[in-house]
Amino acid sequence: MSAPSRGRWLLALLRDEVTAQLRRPSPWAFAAMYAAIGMLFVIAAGGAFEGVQVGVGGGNTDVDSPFAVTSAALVLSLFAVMNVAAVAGGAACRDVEQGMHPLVYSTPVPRGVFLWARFLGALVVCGVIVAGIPAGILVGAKLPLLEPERFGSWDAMSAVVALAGWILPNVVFTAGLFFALAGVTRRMFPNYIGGVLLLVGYLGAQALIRDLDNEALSALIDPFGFGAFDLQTRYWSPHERNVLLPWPTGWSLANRALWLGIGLSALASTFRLFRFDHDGWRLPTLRRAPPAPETTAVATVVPTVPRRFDPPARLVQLFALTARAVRDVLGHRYFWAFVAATVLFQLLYTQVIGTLWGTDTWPVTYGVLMVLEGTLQLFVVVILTFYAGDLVWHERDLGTDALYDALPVPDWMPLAAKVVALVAVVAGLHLPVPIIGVLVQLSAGFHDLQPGLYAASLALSLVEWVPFVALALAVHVVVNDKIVGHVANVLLWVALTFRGALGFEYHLFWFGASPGREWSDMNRWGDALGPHLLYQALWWAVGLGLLVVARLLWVRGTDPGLRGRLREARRRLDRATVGTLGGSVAVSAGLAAVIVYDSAVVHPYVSSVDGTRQQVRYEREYQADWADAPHPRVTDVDLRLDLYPRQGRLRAEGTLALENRSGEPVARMLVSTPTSSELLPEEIALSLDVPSQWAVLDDALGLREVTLDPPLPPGGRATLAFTFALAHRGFDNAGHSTVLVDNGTFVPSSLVLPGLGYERGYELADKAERRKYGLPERPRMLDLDDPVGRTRNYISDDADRVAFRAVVSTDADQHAVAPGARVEEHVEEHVEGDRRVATFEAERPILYLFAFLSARWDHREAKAGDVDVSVWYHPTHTYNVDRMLQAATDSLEAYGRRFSPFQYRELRIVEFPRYATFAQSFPSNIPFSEAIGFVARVVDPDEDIDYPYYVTAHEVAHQWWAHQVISADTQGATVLVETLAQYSALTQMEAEFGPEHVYRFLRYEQDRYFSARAVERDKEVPLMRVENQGYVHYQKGGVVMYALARAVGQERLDAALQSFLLAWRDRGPPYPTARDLVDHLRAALPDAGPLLTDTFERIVLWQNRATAATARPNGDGTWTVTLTVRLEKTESDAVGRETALPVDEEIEVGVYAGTREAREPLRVERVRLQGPEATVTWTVPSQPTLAGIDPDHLLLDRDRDDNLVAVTTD
Amino acid sequence: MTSLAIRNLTKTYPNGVRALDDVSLELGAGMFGLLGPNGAGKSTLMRTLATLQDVDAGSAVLSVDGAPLDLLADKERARRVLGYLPQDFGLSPKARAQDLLGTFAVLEGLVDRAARRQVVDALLHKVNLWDARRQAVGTFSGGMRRRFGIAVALLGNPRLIVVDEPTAGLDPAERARFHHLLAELGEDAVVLLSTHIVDDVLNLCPRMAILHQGRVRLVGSPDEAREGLRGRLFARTVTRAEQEALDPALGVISTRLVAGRLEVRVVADAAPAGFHPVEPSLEDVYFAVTTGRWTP
Repeated sequence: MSAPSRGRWLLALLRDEVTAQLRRPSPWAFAAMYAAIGMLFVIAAGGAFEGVQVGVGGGNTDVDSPFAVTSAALVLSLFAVMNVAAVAGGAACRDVEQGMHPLVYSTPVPRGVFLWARFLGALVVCGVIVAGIPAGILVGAKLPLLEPERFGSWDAMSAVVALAGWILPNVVFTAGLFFALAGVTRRMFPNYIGGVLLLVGYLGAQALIRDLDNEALSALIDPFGFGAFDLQTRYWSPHERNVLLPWPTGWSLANRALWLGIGLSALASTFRLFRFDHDGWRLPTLRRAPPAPETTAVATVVPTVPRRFDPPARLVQLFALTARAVRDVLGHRYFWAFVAATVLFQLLYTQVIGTLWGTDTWPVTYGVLMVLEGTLQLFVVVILTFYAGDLVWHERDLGTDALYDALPVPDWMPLAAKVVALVAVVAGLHLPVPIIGVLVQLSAGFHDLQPGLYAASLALSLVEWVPFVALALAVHVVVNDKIVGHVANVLLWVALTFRGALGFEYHLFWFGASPGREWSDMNRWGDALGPHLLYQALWWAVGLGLLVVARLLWVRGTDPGLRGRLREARRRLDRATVGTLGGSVAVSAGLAAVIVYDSAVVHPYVSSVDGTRQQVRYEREYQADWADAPHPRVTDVDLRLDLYPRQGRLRAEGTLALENRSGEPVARMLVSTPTSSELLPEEIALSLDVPSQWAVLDDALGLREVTLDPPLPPGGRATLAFTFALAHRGFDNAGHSTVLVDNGTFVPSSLVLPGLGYERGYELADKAERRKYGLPERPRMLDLDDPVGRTRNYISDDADRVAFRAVVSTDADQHAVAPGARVEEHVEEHVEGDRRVATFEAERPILYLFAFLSARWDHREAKAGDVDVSVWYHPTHTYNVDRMLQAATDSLEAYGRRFSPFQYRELRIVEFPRYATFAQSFPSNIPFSEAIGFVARVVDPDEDIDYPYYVTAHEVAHQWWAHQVISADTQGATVLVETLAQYSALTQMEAEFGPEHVYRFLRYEQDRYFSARAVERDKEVPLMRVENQGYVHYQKGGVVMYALARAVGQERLDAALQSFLLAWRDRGPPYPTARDLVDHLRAALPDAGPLLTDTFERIVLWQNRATAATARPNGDGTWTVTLTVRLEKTESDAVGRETALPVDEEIEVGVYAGTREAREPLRVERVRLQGPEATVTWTVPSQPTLAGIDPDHLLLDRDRDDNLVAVTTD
Repeated sequence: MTSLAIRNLTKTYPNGVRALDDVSLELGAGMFGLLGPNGAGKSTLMRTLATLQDVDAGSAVLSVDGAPLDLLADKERARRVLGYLPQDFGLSPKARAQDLLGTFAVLEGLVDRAARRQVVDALLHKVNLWDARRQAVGTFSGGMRRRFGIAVALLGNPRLIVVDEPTAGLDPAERARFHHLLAELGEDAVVLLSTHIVDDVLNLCPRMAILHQGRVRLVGSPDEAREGLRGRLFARTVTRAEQEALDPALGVISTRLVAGRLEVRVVADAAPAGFHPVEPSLEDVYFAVTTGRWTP
């Protein structure tokens, strides 16, 4: 008999393999499962579940668009890594695992044929499994129960692209890897571990990959192609996302090829290393020792010694068993691989602690801990799930259970030992954290170590893990099947992790949950620790109960089956056990009762769905009646505010002077009182000094109606007196207090002043959410030219500008900050604690927007002309205080010169806790979060964007652009506020650091603009009509204004802005709009007309490219350079459909010496160019190396890397 | 004095197999052999006495110096006087023999470190593992592992020692060593040894029982057992063709090859045609009982 040809042999084997594998139910079951998950995903994204928001990239991207289908399928396919590990691993080591290898490996089949058949068979099976994902998504998108508005670009080719372009290359890559791993080790187990590590590591490394400066590199090295997919599609407009098929191109194609190649090389290594023999590769650890030489048996007498079984002896036994169990874990062959992986990833992730505009923050301890504990968490979950099963089954797996079970130890002891051992292992995993943390801190040159915080945070972390140890072990004991136990534990974890997505927020229903804890250097743990520990006590008690149940069902000796175990459990129910179980139930019930009382009775429980429904009710019940009802405006504020940070309460008492400026008589008013999820009303009192009747409309919304009889005539005046006492009561399910806290109080005016009239801003804004609740479409803002909008300002419709006086008291060891100048301050002595009382007075009427802060700060002061500038900061956060002070004084001086004089005597920058991460400009005060700026690490101003300086400059600019001139409440309102502040800050940054610094900054801004417009939920609008969209008024606005300054000259632009400001400064209604600004600029800068149209009135995008540049020497040292460029200019509509525009305008052209990183301008000029292709021929003074179009990226250009081209010499 | 009274033990598994059927035995101090084929119920009986399995009915009471201890009801105390060597067992592969035995000693109540050390060392000497005391038990051969198991069983000076199939799978030398070890087990303890190897019983046990299909078929000393069969056992050498022609009613208890030829043995009141009387061995007794051809 002759051997068949290799090809036919392979085909026969492959057919055999595929039929055998596909005859089993599991590939089909998994395919069905993934299809179901895909469907569920689409249904959720389609808006089927209340309170569940699943995003697919912006409201204008269809849920069934090729982009959405591909990206969702790509993400979901990541979970199939475990399937690939199982299938490919099984194909490689099935024979050895089943003990069939002596038979199989002695057949005459060539090794190569055998391995190819197995590998290709595995690919087919994996292909069947992953094909379920896009199939499920596409089928799901056709289900009738979805909102049709979110669908419409269904394309069956999406599935083909997702599979062929993205998922299958991943399958080949991972299959090659796992085939090799299992083939060489001849075991499945390394694959499961490898699969988990690959997933966990990859998900964690995402941040790391994203953070790379070099986008192409980060796209290339991402093995699953997420980064490449992102790079390829992130600027795609909603329209493009709906119509383009995302086949991998460019870097994506390279990425796919690279990882496909790596998978195949892994396969090739299998071909080299796989051995058709009995033993395979084996680590030389446990060689069977030759029997020890037989010495003649000595007649030995075994001494009889007393034995003890008293409680101390039991303790010794428990310790011995625990030590044995710990050694079992530590001796496990993969344990140290887990530990090494944990430490490795922790080290990796610490490299990306908080960056902003490419600048690091200092590795403050809480930041380091956040990263390290987060990483640890991933690994502890894996280790816990895995070793819980391993420990419970350890004796039985080894076959040593009969020895242990017949020993005179009580039934509870083995389980107790395993609990203690697993807790000890988890505790041990925490040990590297402070070491790594301190190393990271020291290596960054950071020396403000906080050992106490390390200790506290890690102790809390361990406390939080203990109940999960109990749960994981109890599940394994009760289930009494190792595999089922593992699956049950994993499912529990998944459910607990994604509980938020399931829509249940009340922590009591979720084992191990709590409102959480969060450290702030300013406010430490705040008031989070009490509720958190209460919850931990509950979970400990529940965990103890679970362990008692587990101890009752613990199998000792031969497994007697469920009925036998229950019989045995009854026998084990002795007094102590009943007592413990009863105790844990009683304690759990008691703690649960306390929690319910605190967070659902004295403190109302409002879920996020409840919150949304309140917004819906507000609009449904009050809009029709009140939205257009005329209300008087506030003209004077006189406030007494007592803050009791330590006691968690505040009392506000004062008067608002009202004037009817509406031109109509006011017969009734809607008055709202403070509502907050944190501070609950203790006392609410309101009165008017004119005849009036008060009625409560809605308690939850804090709405009252007041009827004025007689009505307040036009021009009539009245005084509204109010008293609000608010306090913390119980605790909020959603988390700790952030407004009124021990150190770092930040109270907004809405919590201390009554509101007047219907507040449109409270309405539900999200388009999809509104549809879900059957609310009509709602414009985000009033039209640019809406006359009603012009009668009120963007900040508040309750007032124009107001006279302001406030007396604010706080604990004597704190300072309080309020708008206006601090005209007086003293300390009052009280039995309950001394009080610091300060009086603030605004020198001139201010906008109706206040914040009241109180904390234990240090402060530094400086003078800018007559103005007292100060920074109030947490005593340890000194890193950037001087920079901020410098930025503030520089800005005050510059803006005063460029625009108009500063209007107040004082300017204060005030640090508040990291519960929010913004800085905001109030009249004479700038609250600044501890998380931004204060802990930024600007080591080298040439390299790092100095964002403490930039943010300060921006916020100080608001003292002009907002507080001196305020826009009407219409589209474009934020142009006058944010865009102009951004322009001021950019030019200030240029003055301080030079233009290159700004160019680098603007590159980030362009990237953020293009990324954000791609996921716009509603519609993109031209800058002049911006509807409070950050990417338009900050990112696009900054670029546009900077380019405008370049085109017309900064001095001319400043002069135009100055005259605009002076024309509108401190004006009441009608307020100016962005159209007023554009008209003003057009008049002042007649040459900038077309540019203003393109930047403010249209969405214009560019695609400029330098295609070639050649140069030749002229013999006199000068060179003639010829540059060819391609110019594309398009106008985009609201969803990104673009139409081409002709190019005929001045654009900057530059020729440089040096490198891209360090270029030396030889000649940079604006040149009138005509598209689509243009040539520029220039003489430059020396040899050029680079030439290009729009070299500083002042035009909005998606592809900015191709603007410069290297110059070739003729 | 120590003795064990087993009365009417009955155990039926969920699949209907009756593993123990009204088993009663009286055991005094010393070695008692329990002989029976695979599946006879030996291990069920051993596990029951080792507190690892419950029976449906019956009792097992150990008397130590006149004080009775109900092994089935009071497992906690039973375990304190019990030494158990399971039929087949594993050990934490990386643990060193001395450490692991130390752990077992603690669990046996030997919490005093110095005393424990003495006992552990003495036992390691006794089972001849002293030289291997620092070796990982994962490297032990089957015989060494079983000797280690004996050391575990002997911890805490047990009064009832249950040894389940200790010699299965051992090579002859190792088995001989093991027999020496078993022979030294305490004179004052009840030692119950189960095996399906006749020589084990012959070499070691003054008293024995044969268990078959859950029932006790024979109790006595090996000599008594042989005595009962004397004069009723006959043998004949046959060819394969002749073997097939033999009368099925003959009462054949064994057919074995002797120097390449078949020897058939039967139990009968008188020699059947062509058969000659032979001296019964314990093995013949075992076959006679387990084939049901002879009931003592």
